[in-house]
Amino acid sequence: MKIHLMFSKQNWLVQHLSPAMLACLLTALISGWLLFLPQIHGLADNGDFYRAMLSNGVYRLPLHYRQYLNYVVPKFGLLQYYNENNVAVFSSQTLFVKTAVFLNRLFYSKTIFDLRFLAGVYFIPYLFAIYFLTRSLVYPYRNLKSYLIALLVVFVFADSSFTLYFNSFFAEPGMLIAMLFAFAAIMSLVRHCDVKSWPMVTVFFLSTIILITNKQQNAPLALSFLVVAAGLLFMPKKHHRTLLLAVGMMAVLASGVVTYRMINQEFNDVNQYQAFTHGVLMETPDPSRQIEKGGINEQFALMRAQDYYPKNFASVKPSQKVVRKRLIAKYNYAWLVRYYAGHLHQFSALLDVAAKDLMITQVKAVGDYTKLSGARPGQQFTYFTLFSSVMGAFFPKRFVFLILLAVVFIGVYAVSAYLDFKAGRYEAIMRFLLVLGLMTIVIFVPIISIIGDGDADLAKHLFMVPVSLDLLFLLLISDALTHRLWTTHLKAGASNET
Amino acid sequence: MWLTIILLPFFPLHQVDAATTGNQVMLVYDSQNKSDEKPHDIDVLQRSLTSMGLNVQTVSQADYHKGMLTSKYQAVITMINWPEVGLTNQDFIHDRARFKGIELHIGQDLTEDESHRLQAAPKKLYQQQLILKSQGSSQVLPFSETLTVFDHLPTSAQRFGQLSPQQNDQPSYPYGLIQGNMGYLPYFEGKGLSLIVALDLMAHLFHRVVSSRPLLTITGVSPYVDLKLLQELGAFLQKNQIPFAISTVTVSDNTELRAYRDFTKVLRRIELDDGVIFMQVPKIGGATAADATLLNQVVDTSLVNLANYQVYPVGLSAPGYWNQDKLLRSASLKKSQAWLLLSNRTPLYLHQDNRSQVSEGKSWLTLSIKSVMSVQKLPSRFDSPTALTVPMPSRKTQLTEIERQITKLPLDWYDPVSEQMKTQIETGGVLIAYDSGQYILNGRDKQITMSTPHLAQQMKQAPATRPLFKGFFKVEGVILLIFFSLVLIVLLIFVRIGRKHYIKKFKSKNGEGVD
Repeated sequence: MKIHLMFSKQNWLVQHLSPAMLACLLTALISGWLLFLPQIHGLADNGDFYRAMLSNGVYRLPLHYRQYLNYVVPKFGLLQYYNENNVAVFSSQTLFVKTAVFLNRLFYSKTIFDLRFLAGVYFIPYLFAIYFLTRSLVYPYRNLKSYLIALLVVFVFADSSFTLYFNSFFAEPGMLIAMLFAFAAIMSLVRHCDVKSWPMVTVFFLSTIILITNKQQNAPLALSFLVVAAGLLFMPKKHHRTLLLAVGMMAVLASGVVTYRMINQEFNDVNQYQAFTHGVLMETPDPSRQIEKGGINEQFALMRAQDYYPKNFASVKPSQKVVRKRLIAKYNYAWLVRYYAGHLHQFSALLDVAAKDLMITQVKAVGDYTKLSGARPGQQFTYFTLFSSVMGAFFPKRFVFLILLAVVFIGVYAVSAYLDFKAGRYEAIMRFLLVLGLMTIVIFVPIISIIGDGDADLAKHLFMVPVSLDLLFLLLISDALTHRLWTTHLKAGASNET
Repeated sequence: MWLTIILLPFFPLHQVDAATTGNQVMLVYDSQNKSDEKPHDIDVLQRSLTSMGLNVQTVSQADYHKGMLTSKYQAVITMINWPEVGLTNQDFIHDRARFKGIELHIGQDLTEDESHRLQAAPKKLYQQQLILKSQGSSQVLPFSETLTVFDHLPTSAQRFGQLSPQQNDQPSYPYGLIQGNMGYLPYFEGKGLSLIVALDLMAHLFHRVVSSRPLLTITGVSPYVDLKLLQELGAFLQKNQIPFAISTVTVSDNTELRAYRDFTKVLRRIELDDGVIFMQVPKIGGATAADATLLNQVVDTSLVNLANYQVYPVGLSAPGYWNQDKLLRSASLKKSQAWLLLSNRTPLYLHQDNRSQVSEGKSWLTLSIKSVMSVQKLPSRFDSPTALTVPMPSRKTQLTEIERQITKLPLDWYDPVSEQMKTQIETGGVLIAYDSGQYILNGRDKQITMSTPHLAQQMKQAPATRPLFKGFFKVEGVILLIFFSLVLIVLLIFVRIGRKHYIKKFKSKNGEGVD
């Protein structure tokens, strides 16, 4: 009773601190210090940073220690003159890095880049994203359950495994933020958080496009987001809205196509090679015969588990003519699909490999501390990582579980969608298509990753899967707590409105 | 050339003991001149000296500081790669002038003192196309910008080769010359007759003449090449009684696969066809100095795995720069008595020290057959251990072409059996030795057969340790699976019931309406 009183409308705190604001504040406090106070925390370079650094005029300063893997490097140099580096990868990440560099030049230095500016550029929109996400989950309530949901959002998304990314040149923070915005936008429309719908529709399309163009591997996500966007079509028809939707959906599709087309030949070779050595050759006792049947010389079985860019030594470099001519030219993605269709057992074993470490969102391969902090090389940060640790340890490690989960979620949300459809409402349909869209990510991203790049860099390829699952779990819990799982239609006067 | 013949008895032709003292050479160059492929020439020069049993310390003039050239060096070599830069380090010029040992100058920028020691008059030749002739062999040289040659030589000077202009009325000049302990070459080119004559000069200047027949070597072999073509080439050479070697990379992982058994089977066929095998070191990817131990393991495992399948390498082959790197050398070359030093592609160092060492046995300098094809009447013997290489063919037509090239060369090839080659590799507690055609493993003679050796014992791997909570997580996974399956079933039942209920309600309402 007392607790309920605490959250009564008259309570000063409740009046002035909405659940969304609470989530936002807590996230700022929890993550702010670890990102900005010296010694900062982040993720060390695994060798991929150059893609985002060089084309944006950021370079490594000479340091007395190795700048890869072990320690986070807090300061970089800024190129002063003409930047001769071509854009290595087409990515919306450039927007974030360029903004950070601009702010750094404006407020800090024209020669030295402080990584915290980049973290800042991610952090502010992230807090907004948390705000909108929480609001969309609890609206229109402001009661004990709403605050509980807000705390859950903090527990999940202020987890350091996510925020550590901000102090790095990885592209993932952009994806995370865009995803939260896209999700929050749809849920805001479902819950009628705003009087006008066009701002959230715009937010949805913009964040989706940023997300898709953020990384080449995100190109196929355009299809998932078209499923989500289809929900918007059920909104009452208005002339300008129809136009906005048509333009938005075309833009999402186009961004997927453009992102896919921008993958250069070298990256294609890398992926194609690793799809073979880390896919076709794995999870089978002896692939020699099997590949021979597929028209590839059996000797290439010896390349099992080899990377395109060998970490240390390799008998033959994959970029050599003999490999390109005798291996890479001999197969394509159609070949891979055919191969897996004929070796379903191997494919399902590979999917289980993908499912195994799915929920481990913390990048274990690189250190989280700076050299000056005195930490061990590669030391992992453990503060506020309970959610990711628990999920990493206890989430079932079978792909079939993901399928089952998808069926259950889709089944549950289909009920309300059906009811709304019958009743001529659109909210539950939109929510259902959101769930359906996210579940296609959960199911198809592992499949595409395995076919497209084998089990190489799986954790990074699957990044969108745990994010989607976390959002879906939050949605399920918030819907269950607010009794909106089976219907989105609130009984009149039932709410404790904000 | 007659002088060479007269003087030969004074320089005994004996197998050079590589470990003898007084085999230190300092090589000082002006610049690498990367735009002009000069790093390749430096590499060839280094490998040539290694094949002669000389330890070389290579120094760029920018890194030379006063007093480095001490009496511990038997010889000093000055190499000018970029005449526009030339020799500018006065400390070196000064130290060199006082140096008492053997001196070789390659290229432009001779000091007066050096010309004086050669006791001849320098002369510059501009913009000429010359023909290099030596002991009946000849080769047309590419157009040369500026060359310094010597005229009016004293009778005591040893001449090596002859540079003749294309017009018969023009005088000829010696290509290389030795006067006392001073040698001179107007240029250094890492291929063709120029190199062959330069090797001749250096072997004489450093008293390292080891007349030997060239070793025919097939390079670029790997498990991923067309093994049928390799087998065909081996069979062809055996049929024509041409002894040969192959330089092959191998794998250290995945050796349990059928593909590895098939690969080693072809290598055994090569051994039975009188071919000897040099195991080539792996390619360097993202390795750093910290990976030296790993490299050591990779080389050990590769060798032991090959030996398990009766493939006994007689030596190791590596790009030349592996001998300029402390860690690469000690993790690979040092294990073997026989080295085959290949030309560099893109050097990736772990710990460059530029102090090449010599093998305890033989070290072959490789020279591609293509690069000597334009030499008229190739000499049949070289003055230091040299391997003539042919690349592994990738097509049938290439194989035919290679076979044609080999048969066309009127060479008497090095035969490890008749030359009584003796060598060994010590690795990971295993001693792989070769003695005049006999393979010896850990002191026991081994016979090579084509059947795959029974390796059941070696193949067994230690069972993986069971993680502590593996059982728990497995059970947990199953429970959750069952739970969600039940939820799904219950859900479907509810949907079914709900639907019935809904329809029923609708029907009864309808009924009421009728009433």
